[in-house]
Amino acid sequence: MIGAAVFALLVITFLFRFILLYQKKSIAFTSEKKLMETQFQQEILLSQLEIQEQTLKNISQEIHDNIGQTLSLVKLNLNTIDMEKPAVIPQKVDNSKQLVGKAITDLRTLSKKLHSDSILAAGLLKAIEFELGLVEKSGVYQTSLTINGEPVTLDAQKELILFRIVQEAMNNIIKHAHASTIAISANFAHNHLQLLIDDNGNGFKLPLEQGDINRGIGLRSMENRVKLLNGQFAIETALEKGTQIQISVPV
Amino acid sequence: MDKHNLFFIYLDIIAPLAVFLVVLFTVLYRGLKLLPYDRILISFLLAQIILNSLANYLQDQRVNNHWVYHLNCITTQGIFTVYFYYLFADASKKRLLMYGSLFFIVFYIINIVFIQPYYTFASYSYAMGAFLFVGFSLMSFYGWMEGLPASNILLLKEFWGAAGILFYFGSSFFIFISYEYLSEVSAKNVGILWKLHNVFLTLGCLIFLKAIFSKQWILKSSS
Repeated sequence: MIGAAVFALLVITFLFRFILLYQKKSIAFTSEKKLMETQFQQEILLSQLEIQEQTLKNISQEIHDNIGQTLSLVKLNLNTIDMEKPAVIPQKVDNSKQLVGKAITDLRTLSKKLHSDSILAAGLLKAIEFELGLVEKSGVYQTSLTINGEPVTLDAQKELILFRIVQEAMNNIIKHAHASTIAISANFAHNHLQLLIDDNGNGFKLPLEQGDINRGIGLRSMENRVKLLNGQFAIETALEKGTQIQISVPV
Repeated sequence: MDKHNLFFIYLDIIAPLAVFLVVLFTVLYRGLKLLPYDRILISFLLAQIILNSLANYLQDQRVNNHWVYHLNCITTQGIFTVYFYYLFADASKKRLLMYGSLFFIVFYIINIVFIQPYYTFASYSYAMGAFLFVGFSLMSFYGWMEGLPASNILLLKEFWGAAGILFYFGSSFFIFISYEYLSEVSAKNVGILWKLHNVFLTLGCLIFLKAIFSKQWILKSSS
């Protein structure tokens, strides 16, 4: 009788203990989930801000290097119009009209980039293509974007973060790699998107050395962002052999 | 025999019958929808009502009723094996359950043929069955603890189902294992032990009632 009662008490104690432990785990899990959600939201806001900042930099560069130059040419054309040589005037006006037209087209293209929402309105791949186009315009880099598999549209917030990661990777290439080509490939397979960002620059040694603080911060920021997307982040690099950044996220 | 004693003797019919009637009433008048888990628990209640009624009837007629308990033992084993088969999502756990059930059947046959024939109480088979079910319940609890936690486990159907199984079989294990010895010492002991068993069965049935009335269930992958 006592033995049976002891067995029953043991079972009851076990059940109570299990419930307590489980609820404790559940509470810890809920707070961790909330914390992650908050971090995710903060990361999105930060990405938005960084994209805007990057966009403004690009626009300023574009205005200075491209539209500014075009308008200067127009000014030069108009300044050199000699009223005493009326035969040359129509050609100069035509040239100026063409140049102003080009400046208007460039301005339109730029206006599309004025806020981060519109960058991703056409999707991540288009945004990457556009970004690569801007970099290529500088004349320093040859760029390419390859898509393998059936493209899947990701959640808008995920696309924003991924785009920011790509921007960051491209910034690193521009700042540190001394590369001449940037190749991005997007592979859709097995419910995952794999992004490979390759350059043919001077590469670097892993682990990073003391002097590489900025590059280190950039890479860590990319890795953290990939983790937020439940993805995987890896780098393959060696001195003088270029760099490949590998990102894989569930879609 | 006084009323108090009678109540405890027939508690193994009264408790499952009362729980079954409450469930039936709720299904008929409150529109309670039953899941496979619930149907399995209800079939256990029905098996207990029928087999314990038969056993008690035979006892009242002073006819040996131990064969009914042999039947009850294997029926209960079958019912809860199906329950755990539904509960376990993992193929390895399902395989372990199948091996456990196969082992039990072999043990049951050996026990009834060589050790405890149909005219004696199948205490060893009951003990072995209880041991296996305690193991399977603990596997479920371990799986829940390892998986992603639900917000409140006390709202979950499977938790109460496994808790009921663990409580009834865990508590009764000592009764089954010591039954043979105690019955040799004194017949009075058996009477007391069986009443205690009926109390455990009653509490087990009440926990099953809670399981049937719980509305949430966990994703299978976590068990």
